[in-house]
Amino acid sequence: MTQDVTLAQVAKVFRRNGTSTPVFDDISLTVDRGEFVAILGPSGCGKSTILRLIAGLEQPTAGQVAIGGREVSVTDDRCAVVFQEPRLLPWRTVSANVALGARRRKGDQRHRVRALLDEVGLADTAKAWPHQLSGGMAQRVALARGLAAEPDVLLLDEPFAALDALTRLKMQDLLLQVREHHPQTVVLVTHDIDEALHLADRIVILGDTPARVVATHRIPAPRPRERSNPTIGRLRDDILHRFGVGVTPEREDTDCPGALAAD
Amino acid sequence: MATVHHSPPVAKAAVPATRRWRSGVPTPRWLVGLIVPVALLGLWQWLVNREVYTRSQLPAPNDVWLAGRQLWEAELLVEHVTISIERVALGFAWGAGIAILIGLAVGLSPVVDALLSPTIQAIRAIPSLAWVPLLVLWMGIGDQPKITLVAIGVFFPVFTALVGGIQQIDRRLVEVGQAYGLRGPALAWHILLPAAAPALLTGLRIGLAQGWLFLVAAELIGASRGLGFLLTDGQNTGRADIIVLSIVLLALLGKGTDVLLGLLQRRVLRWSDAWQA
Ligand SMILES: Nc1ncnc2c1ncn2[C@@H]1O[C@H](COP(=O)(O)OP(=O)(O)OP(=O)(O)O)[C@@H](O)[C@H]1O
Ligand SMILES: [Mg+2]
Repeated sequence: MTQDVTLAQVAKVFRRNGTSTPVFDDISLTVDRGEFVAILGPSGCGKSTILRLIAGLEQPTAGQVAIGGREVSVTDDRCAVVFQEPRLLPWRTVSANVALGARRRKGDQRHRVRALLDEVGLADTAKAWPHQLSGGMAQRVALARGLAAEPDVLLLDEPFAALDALTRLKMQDLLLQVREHHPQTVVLVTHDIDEALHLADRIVILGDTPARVVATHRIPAPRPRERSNPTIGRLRDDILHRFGVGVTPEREDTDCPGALAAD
Repeated sequence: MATVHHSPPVAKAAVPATRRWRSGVPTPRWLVGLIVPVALLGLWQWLVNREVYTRSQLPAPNDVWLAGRQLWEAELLVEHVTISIERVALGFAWGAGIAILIGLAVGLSPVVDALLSPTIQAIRAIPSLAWVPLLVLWMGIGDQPKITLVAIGVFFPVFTALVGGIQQIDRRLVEVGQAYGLRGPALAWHILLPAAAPALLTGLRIGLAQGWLFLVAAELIGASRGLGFLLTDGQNTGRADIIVLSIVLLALLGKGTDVLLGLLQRRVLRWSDAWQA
């Protein structure tokens, strides 16, 4: 597989009135073309910062960030971002917000926008203003906007966090279904281990300060996956164990088929 | 198909033109706004009746009305009003147009900001009347210096508001534009201008009000038509009724044109989720 997204020895330090916060001092990560990577890690460890670096919205303090071997820039045409907050443009209606995503696509944009709004369950709110939406509705509009762009690299920052459990599962399936037509590279940040296990080819776990990759798990099961897939169940236990939750001592030495690297 | 249950359609937020006050009687807003003017009218008539001032100092409301009718019958009233509106409209268009262009440049480019802002702030401090002799010297006594003076009056509030508005733009929304490939003029049109629109519209309304102020300054000197001329003419001929008539007309026109801009503001900012008391 060809490499698509690469972070090479990236350091990122935020400087703010005298104090400097090092988020990473040396992080490397590659994502193959068409691969679906999920990033897990504790709050504040730098997950959003990684996405912002890939999107070109943040400059690395050291190291390179590239897509397809070419360094990223702000207003990079190659990726679209679904931010952690919905960030809808308040002066655009719901459908005009989604249309911003579809802007660069050829073909019938209006039809595309309508179809996506329908799929996220918001066909009836197409003409509403963002301030009239609930948090979960706004997040679904933001998701539709990202999906409408059909970029080479789709960056998703906890896109389902504000949704109820059932809607969340449906949105996950929608994401997979859109990807079937357009197999884009996806980097998904999530706090939901089951979500990562259901969607991703590979799970990257961040930890420590400054953050580094503490573990990478390749998920061996093909998609679409049964949510009760036993291989995934074992992997899940292993990851939970890494976070120090819910594993009994005698299970501790069970080797995990998906574990690739744990440095 | 991953179709989720459809959320209920969201009702359009409406700005109430009529609201119930504590009494529970629904009252249109404009009716409430008339209370103070009517009270002032009453106070005026009362002062006249008490003869606090002589009739030539303070004319009765009816005198002013008659003065207005006289001018109307001489077909002068429409002419004075029209020429003043014309000057304000042209001056407003020029002043606001240039203010938006320079304001965008200053707001978007730190270099232009550093280059122009100090000078603009200094020019801003010049009082309106100080411009008049210079403009007359340069442009004579036709319409051009008057329109220019109005434009100068309109320029500063619009410019200041727009630059302030651009500097207040939420970085996160600009990032959305960038993340979806907007740059340069497209970014300015789709993100920066709408984000600065609330400030800009406030600036336009203040600019229009200032345009009327500067109009009077322009017409006080070297004019043969217009409401400012009518005002000086009343002074020179000792006609208090004419003076008051001009003042009332200026107030009405200022208010009327502001209402029009207010409607535009409501329309442009209909997405707004601003707090309403
Ligand atoms: N613009 C900034 N200025 C200063 N510090 C920042 C800035 N953006 C992020 N940080 C810091 O960088 C660290 C990582 O932030 P980031 O948003 O990437 O965390 P995260 O992993 O996405 O957390 P969460 O799961 O809570 O969203 C935090 O300590 C944060 O305070
Ligand atoms: Mg985050």
